[in-house]
Amino acid sequence: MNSVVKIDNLVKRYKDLLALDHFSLDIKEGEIFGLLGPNGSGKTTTINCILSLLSFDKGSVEVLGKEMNPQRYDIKRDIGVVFQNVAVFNELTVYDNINYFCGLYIKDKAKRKEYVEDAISFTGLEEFRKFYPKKLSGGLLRRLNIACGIAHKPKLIIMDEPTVAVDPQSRNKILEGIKELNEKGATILYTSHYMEEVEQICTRIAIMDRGKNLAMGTKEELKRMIKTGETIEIEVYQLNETQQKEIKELPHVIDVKYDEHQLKINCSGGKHNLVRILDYLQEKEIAFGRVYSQLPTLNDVFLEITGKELRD
Amino acid sequence: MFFHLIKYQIKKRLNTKDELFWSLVFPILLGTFFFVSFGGFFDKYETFHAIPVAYVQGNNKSLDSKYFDNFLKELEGGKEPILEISRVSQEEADKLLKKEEIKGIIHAADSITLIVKEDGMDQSILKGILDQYLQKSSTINDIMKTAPEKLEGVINSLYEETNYLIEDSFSDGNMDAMVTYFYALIAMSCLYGCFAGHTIAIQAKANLSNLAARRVVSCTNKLQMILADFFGTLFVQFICSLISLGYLTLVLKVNFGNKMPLIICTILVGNIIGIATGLFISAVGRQSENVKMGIVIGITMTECFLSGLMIQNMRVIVEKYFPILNRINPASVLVDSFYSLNIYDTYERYTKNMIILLTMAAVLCILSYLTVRRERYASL
Repeated sequence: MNSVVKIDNLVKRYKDLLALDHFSLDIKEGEIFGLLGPNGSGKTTTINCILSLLSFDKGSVEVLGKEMNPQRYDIKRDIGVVFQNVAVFNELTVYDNINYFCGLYIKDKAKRKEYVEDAISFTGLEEFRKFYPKKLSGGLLRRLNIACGIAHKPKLIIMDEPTVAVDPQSRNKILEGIKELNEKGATILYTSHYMEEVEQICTRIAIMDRGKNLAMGTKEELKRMIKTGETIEIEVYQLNETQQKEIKELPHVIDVKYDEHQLKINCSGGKHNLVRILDYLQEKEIAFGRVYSQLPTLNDVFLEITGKELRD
Repeated sequence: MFFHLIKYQIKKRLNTKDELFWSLVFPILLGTFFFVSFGGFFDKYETFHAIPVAYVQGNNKSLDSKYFDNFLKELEGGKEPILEISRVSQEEADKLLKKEEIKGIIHAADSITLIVKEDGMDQSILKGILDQYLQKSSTINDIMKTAPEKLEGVINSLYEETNYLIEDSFSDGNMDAMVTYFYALIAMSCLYGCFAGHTIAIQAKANLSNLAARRVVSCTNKLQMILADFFGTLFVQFICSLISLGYLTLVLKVNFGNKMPLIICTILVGNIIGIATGLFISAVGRQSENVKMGIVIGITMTECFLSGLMIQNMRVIVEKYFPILNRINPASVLVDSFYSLNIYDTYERYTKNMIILLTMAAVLCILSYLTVRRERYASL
């Protein structure tokens, strides 16, 4: 498959701060590529470098097979951007905003009209076409922001945290929409610090922190990279240190934490981990309540790689 | 594409309430305020009439008296007579004065005297006229007695002095000093285009607004975007100025003279320089949007202040101590353009001012573009 975005050894400094540290990335055609990282990890800087808005100190950026620079209008024609902050004109209606931004790419009036209607219908803004942005709720504003970015039907859509401060209903609509755009042929670069979103829609994910690409792959590949295969949480009313040590010595148990009556056990891959632990608790006549078992999340991956939570 | 951008720029500007206030509502409000304040002056000027006065001639038929008769005939003749003289007897004159049908009685016997019933502007004018006559006739009499050979020269000198005081129009403009306030108002409203110019810059620099970033990443080049924004803004500003001018001319009946096409042309150039100034100030430097707005307001107000738009004599003071400032201050040059249209019959000074303003606008726009077109930013 062809590379749609190829970043090689990108270095970007803001005075003394190293924002991108030899960052590399390769996004293939047809992917929904997730860039996952906490706030300040360098996601938006990466996007701004891809778009040639920011200068960088070292490295190269190729988009759609060509080296990107501010004058590459032929490349820009095929890129759609949904910025993190809503960027629309308060003086124009919903329809006019979409038509204006679509008009920056599409000269043909009839074609543009059709595209604008498609974007309005795609984002579910039919009832609000004559509304001014100030009259829209946060979720609707986000949808307008998206409509302005994708109305010209680009091949590559870059979305920088498009669901920040959005209600669950609008968030689901946006995520469904992204999948639909991808099914229609668009390659998508999606940044977020919400791991659930990235897990839900992305075909491939890069985890970044402090400007570095820490890990990259499908979500299954990423989860396989870490030791934790299963996390078991049990409500235990009393547990002494000896018992905690004995649990840690059970097969496949990597780590045990006991805090405020919650026993959290990280296990590596392997079967019957939960049965073994429950057998131990019964054998020792340790009273317990609710039991949860979950497979590793991207947060576990991030935690294991960086030693901190994704939302820290 | 270009017309698409212009169309939406016009729509945006028409929906920007605060900018419309300064460009349209403010000049109309202030113009109305001026009109109400100066209304009395306009009425006085328009309704000026000859002062009714009675002339009572005594028995003295001297040469002096003959000269005085001729003098009075001059004042009651011509297109715009100053006096409306009733030649009556003393008794009749007293009756007329009592009935307030005349403002005063001029009595010419051995000496010339003025009798008035009350104080007032007309009475002051009458007194001024007679004082001037008496002073000059006394001077001539003295010269005749002491050095008659110099009489011709003295008479010529007095004649020149009189000519010196005659108002003579060199142009088709309106010489009324009050009109200059309305010119200042129009000039100021043109310069308020700087706010719209500021917005153009903010929406063109990706490091200043998200909107600019969204526009910059599109496949439309920056020059096209800036030009479309500029012309769209200019169109709205110009229409606002024309509406203001129309209001002043048609509703308030302010007389701007017979050079309306050139006044409109000056307004257009004024709008161009206003927008270009705001564009340039906000395009240069790395300050935040709010700081830039503060700078735009500060510089524009300083320009207006130094050009005498706030204090009438300021331009004269600047001309005395730092004349170069009057040549490079867009507000001063704009105001001077209006004044020169009003005062001179030739267009040399006006044309020079127009060229200066257009050159300045072109330089400011080019510098702005060179700053804004900057390819990539070090930080956003």
